[in-house]
Amino acid sequence: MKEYLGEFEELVLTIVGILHEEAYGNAIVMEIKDRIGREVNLSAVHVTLYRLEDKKYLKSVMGGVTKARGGRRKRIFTITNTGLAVLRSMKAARIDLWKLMPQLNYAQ
Amino acid sequence: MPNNRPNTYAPPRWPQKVLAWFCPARLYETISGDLLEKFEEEVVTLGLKKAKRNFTWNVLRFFRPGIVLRNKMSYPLFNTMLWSSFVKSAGRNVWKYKTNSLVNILGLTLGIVCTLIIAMIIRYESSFDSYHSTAHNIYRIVRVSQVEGQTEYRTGVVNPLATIISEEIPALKNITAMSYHRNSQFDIIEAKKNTRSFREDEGCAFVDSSFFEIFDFKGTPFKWLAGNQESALTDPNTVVLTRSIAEKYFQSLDVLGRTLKFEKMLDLKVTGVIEDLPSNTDFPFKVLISYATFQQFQGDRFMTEWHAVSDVHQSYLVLPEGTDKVEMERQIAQVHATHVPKELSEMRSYMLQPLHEVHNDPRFGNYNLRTVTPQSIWALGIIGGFLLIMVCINFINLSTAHAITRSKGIGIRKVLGSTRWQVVGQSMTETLLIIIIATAIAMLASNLVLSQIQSLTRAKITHAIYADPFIWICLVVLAVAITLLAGLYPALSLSQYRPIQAIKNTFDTKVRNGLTLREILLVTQFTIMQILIIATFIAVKQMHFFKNVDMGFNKDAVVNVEVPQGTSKDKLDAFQNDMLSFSSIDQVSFSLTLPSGLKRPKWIWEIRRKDDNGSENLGFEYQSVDHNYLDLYDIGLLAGRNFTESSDRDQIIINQTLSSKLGFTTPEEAIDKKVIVMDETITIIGVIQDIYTNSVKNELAKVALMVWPDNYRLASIKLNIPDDASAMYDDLEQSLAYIEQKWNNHFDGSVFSYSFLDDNVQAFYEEEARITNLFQVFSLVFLVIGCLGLYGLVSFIAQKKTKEVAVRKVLGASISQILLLFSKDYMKQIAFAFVIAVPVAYYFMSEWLNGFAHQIILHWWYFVLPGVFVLFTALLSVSGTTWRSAIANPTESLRNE
Repeated sequence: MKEYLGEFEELVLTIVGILHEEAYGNAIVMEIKDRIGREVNLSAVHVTLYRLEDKKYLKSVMGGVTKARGGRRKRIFTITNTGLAVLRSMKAARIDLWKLMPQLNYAQ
Repeated sequence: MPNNRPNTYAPPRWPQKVLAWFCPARLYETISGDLLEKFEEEVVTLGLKKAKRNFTWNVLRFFRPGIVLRNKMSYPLFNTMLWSSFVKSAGRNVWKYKTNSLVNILGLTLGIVCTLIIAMIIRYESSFDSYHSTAHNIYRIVRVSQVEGQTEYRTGVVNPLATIISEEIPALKNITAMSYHRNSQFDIIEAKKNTRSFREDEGCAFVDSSFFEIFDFKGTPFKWLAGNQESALTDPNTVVLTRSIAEKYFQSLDVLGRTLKFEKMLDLKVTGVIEDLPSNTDFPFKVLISYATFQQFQGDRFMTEWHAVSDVHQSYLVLPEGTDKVEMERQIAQVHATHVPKELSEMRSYMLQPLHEVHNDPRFGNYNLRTVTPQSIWALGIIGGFLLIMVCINFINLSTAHAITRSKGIGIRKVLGSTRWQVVGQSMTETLLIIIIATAIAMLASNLVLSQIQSLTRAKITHAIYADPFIWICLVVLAVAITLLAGLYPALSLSQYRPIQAIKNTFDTKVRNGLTLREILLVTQFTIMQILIIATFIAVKQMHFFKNVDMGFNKDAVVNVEVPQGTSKDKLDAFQNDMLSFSSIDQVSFSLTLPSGLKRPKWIWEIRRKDDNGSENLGFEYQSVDHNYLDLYDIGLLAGRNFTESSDRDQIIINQTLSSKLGFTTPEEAIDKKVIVMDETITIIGVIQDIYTNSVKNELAKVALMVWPDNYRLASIKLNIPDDASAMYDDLEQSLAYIEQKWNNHFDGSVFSYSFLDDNVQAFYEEEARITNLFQVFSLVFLVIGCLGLYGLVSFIAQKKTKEVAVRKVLGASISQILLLFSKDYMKQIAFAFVIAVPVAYYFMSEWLNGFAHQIILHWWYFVLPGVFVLFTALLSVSGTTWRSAIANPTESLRNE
């Protein structure tokens, strides 16, 4: 695999996968905060989303008009097959590496 | 009232506008949506105020490359189509109106070159010794004395001062003492019995080991090439050479341990070699002898001499952190008071002068004998500013005059949907294009010009000035400043016209009450021009006065040759006889120093009257001469008689100033009175007229001449000036060759050196002369820029008025009437500008002249003449430009209808 994902990219990509059809900027920020208690900035999430979209790991469509948010539409992101494959291979690689770690118990 | 709610909770508007500006359109909707959603939520959780603040902050955080750079991929932030159209039409316009563009580019280039050069000079002059790491804390100890009701500012401190205060003031850690010597001889005696001798006019100094601790030359290429800083200058009889001196004396840098002889007396061992010191230092040292050598050389006198001072013996200290300058001065005064008699400590005080003032304060001076006052730096800066204003005014005038030709294009642009800002952008692009061309030419030109005017600027910049980032910053700042100053007004005024008006060409720039902007600008320009030209004219007059003032002695055709110290009377006589046997040599006289001149060492002795016991000692400038001296220098005796061949140390001749200071009402009264000099009673045999032993900038000094053959160090040789001026140069060559040959015969083992007295006197005014020359150059530049502007403006107007001129001619107007028609307005403006310029120039020039003890009187015609000159030049350029339309056959221009 040629492309590598940064830590934050991987996190955002995973969250998009988790949120399924509900992934847009604010939702992702909230989700990250709820799940792992990390405060991230909206602009950082946006930048990452667009970058992942450039890399074809994500695709986006505009959602429907709502009354909230000044009538502005959401951009809903969904994970592509390529994106999913990248996540999977990263996970596999991670697990392979874990297996190589000496299984030691550090007793007190 | 549900309708009002969204309004009350609305986020601030301006961040949304900013977001819309930088955010790519494709992303704008969703990003602003997300932001609004967050805001709506925060209004509830955090309150309106905090939510608003967060909203703004969050918007601004979107201004990041990941968002902003996305503009290119979807919708460009700068509309490239529009911009390429701007550039294209700018190029076309520049090409179409060639005269206009050429005038603009020429004027701008000239302006930029000059401003750049001014910037370099200012930078160079203010960089002196600014690079030492503690530069802001280094102070020179200077001597300020109250002498006969006047304050004397001198640089020298007595020998023991540095040592004593560093012992008695515990807070003081870093102090260094040094002494500087001009005209020193160095001999390199090698085993093979051949001795090579060198004379250094400048650069020989005694410095102690802490010199390089205080002056570390950090930030310059300075470094030690051999030897080490801590130990090289601690022992007596050691010397450190700079690279160029080592190469000159030994053709090698590997010279540690070699010896050289200083003034045929002291053997010095080379203990270090350093890189040449930068040119922007007031410590122009080349041969650095250890201060311990100086101490040894002075012997017992060194620690006890609290009275006699030499101005080249100076001391610098680093003010300890947390100590006040005034407090340190007080402590030094206390120490001083405990070591000297009360009279001395009351009249003489040691003050601290910040290092940067060493280069700035002409009252004290420095080893380079060249100070640049902050006023002259300011004057240069102001000239630079004026230059910029001049070129901008030219540009604005030309652009607004051309508005009419442009109006159609602008009208069409507007009809086709251009916004006002796009018209402004178009016009500014054109300005920028012209300025870029001018800047590019200026860059090439300044490199050439800088190397040509080295002597004028004194800034030693010889190569690759573009390696200096400062130049680039200057260029960018200049280009941006000119674009904004010159481009904005025409762009705004052009863009404000309504399309219909513009296309119909109905608007008129001059039908307004009072002064139009163009008139105001022209008057400003003429005022600046006249102030500078009047100032230059007066400065040149003052320089002329300095050069030609009667200094009380004849300074022409005198060659001064040094004779070795302690040469016997017989040897001097033999030399004199040899000299006089040459036909071109008229007279020879021996003396201690030159009668005047910048590099003349001053010997101050004390004198008092014998018959009056209560009288105080007066300091006077001592000069040892022989009986030919007065004759050779053509110094007139007011009373009494000259020395004779048999005169001895018991006779003295004083000048008029000294005579009256001693209390004699007439010169005759002083004759045959007894005075006491150096504890000896001697007789006044003559009183001479006053001579300027110092610069005419200063007051007359008290001078006395005595015959002390032991103190002859200089031979003055007066040459016959041949009647035929063309033979003069050859004659001079021959005489100098003869003098050198004979000199070498008589004083074998020393190095021959000569100087011309008039050069030496001229050196007093070098700095003023340099500034004046710069002013002359800049006046010329101002004149050229002004005339260029006039030319551009008038040629355009003449072209527009072709028909009017034809009709007038048909109705019987003469050529001169037509020319007058064009130039009348400008003449009025120049006259008006003259009225403003005179008081301003008068104020500044009388301030400048007040700095000199002797100055020219400002005659009314010093102002009128330059004014008439400007008027005449302007008239000439206007008439020259309009000549063609004035003589044109009216049928030609009318037929073209």
